[in-house]
Amino acid sequence: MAKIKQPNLTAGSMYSQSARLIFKRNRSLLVQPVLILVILGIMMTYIHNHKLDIIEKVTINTKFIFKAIEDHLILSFSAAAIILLIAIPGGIIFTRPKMKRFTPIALALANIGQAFPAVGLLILAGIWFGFGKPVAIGTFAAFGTLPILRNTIVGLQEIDPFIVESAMGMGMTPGQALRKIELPLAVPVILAGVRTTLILTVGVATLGVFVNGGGLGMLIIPGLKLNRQIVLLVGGMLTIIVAFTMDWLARLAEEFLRPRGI
Amino acid sequence: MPNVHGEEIRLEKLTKRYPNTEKDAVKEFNLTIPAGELVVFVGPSGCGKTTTMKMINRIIEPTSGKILIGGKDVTHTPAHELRRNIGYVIQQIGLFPHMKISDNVATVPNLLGWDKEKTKARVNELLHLVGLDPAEYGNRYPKQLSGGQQQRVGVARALAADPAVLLMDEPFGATDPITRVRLQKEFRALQRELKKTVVFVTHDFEEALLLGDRIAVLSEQSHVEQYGTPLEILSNPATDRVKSFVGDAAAVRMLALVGLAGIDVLPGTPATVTVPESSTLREAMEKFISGADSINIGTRGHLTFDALQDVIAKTRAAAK
Repeated sequence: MAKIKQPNLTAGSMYSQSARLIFKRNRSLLVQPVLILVILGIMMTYIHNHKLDIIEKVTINTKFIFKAIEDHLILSFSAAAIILLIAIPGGIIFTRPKMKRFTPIALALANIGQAFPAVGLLILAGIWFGFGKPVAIGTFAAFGTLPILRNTIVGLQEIDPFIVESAMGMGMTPGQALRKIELPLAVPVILAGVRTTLILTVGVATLGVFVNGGGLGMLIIPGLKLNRQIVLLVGGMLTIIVAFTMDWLARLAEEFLRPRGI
Repeated sequence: MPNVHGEEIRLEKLTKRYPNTEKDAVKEFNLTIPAGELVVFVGPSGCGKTTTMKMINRIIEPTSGKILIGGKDVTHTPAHELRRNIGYVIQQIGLFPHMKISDNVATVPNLLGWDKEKTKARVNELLHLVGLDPAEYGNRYPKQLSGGQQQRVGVARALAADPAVLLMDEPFGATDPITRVRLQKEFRALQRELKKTVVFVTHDFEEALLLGDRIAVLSEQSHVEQYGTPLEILSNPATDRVKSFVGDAAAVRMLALVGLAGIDVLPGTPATVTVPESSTLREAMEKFISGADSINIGTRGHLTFDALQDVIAKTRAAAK
């Protein structure tokens, strides 16, 4: 008798999608890195064709620029990491039956965080808690919590209640239903929030310079103050490049982590 | 794998009152569901039939009262442990969209910690049982299946750990009429083999007649208007409410419930028209309506129209 091919019962393949398929389905994922390289190329050409004066040379040099990028990444990633640690568990807690009634309060708080002008929030925090990276990171975290918190809540709330009911009906504990059913189904919406937050923090991290936090603001602010267009432009373009790269990486994560079947 | 037969379910003074409401949604519901029988809760929408059923696996926690399964009080057993021994099928199906069909069916065995080989074998067995080829469907995702196929998977998933009790809430309600009839017939055949204790909720009286060993006709607050076999309810509706639910054509519907195998027949087979012994009084009546004077019942004997009327009268009297 011919051997019948048995279906593969492992759940491990839940997230695996072939990379080729993803790029084929979503061509814009290939366009974005090209765009980033083009911007980078324009910037390099611009610098190359410009005779730097002594003031410009202070900032437009590899050492200074790499330090600024490094600080910028530290600022935005640290803020994003704090946000992830707060907002995802927060979103989970505020969708549990017993805590549901507090959801509007949590969202209102996160809304206030984002509605505050970032510069104002940062300066106030600087005056109260002193200058430096930690204060900048804390402020950016408060500023960027909303998208992930909101998307975690919405992603979990959007799940068809009958799917959760049938999970409970099968005998899953609330924790098992959350881990095996609810969170995987909410992954696409949560990751969309993560992407928004990442871009947001990369953007506001340019303000870190106001509290002595470093970052690409180190190019933009002197560029403005000293009226050196090239410094300003390099700072701005580098910010765009970093933001675009983050966005691209986050979109890749979204594509690869999205569970199949939904 | 050996098939676990049903266990008796006894519900004692089961009551549900939702917070901030004036009256009970289900009031002191008493019912004994014999082991291995399929009992249909039928009644108008809002009568509390679904609430009553969902209290058995405590998806809805009862306010008061007792649930006994196989003589054991499970009113306070941890809900998730109780539910792993009760199959659950709902109208909305509720398959997990991010899991393959085989993983969906394996849900309860996985929760119970069965080993991989045993689970795999069981999943294949069940998919065969509900008429889906595991090689073809096991690796698909729910959205790649039709509604009827999804509900077959729903039934397979509920049966996976071979529970003694099965709860079904209008499981075939969302499928098209043709698929529904096919699923009903398949499920009836399956249940005859498995002999689970099934509580089946529907508002479709035809479905209740087709599937139920017994029917509980419910009215507001899940009040039991009548509890009996389909034949008893058709031939002798206990209250006006039951009467209105049964409708006018009770006698005609009854014909479909009585097989020809057990009835008294006249000797000899002189008629030109023959119906097999496996059919019901309905097929026999059909022949008379289309003009036959008498009909043969297989090779066992024959019936005239008068004799058929006698049989109907006797059946109705017996059911009372």
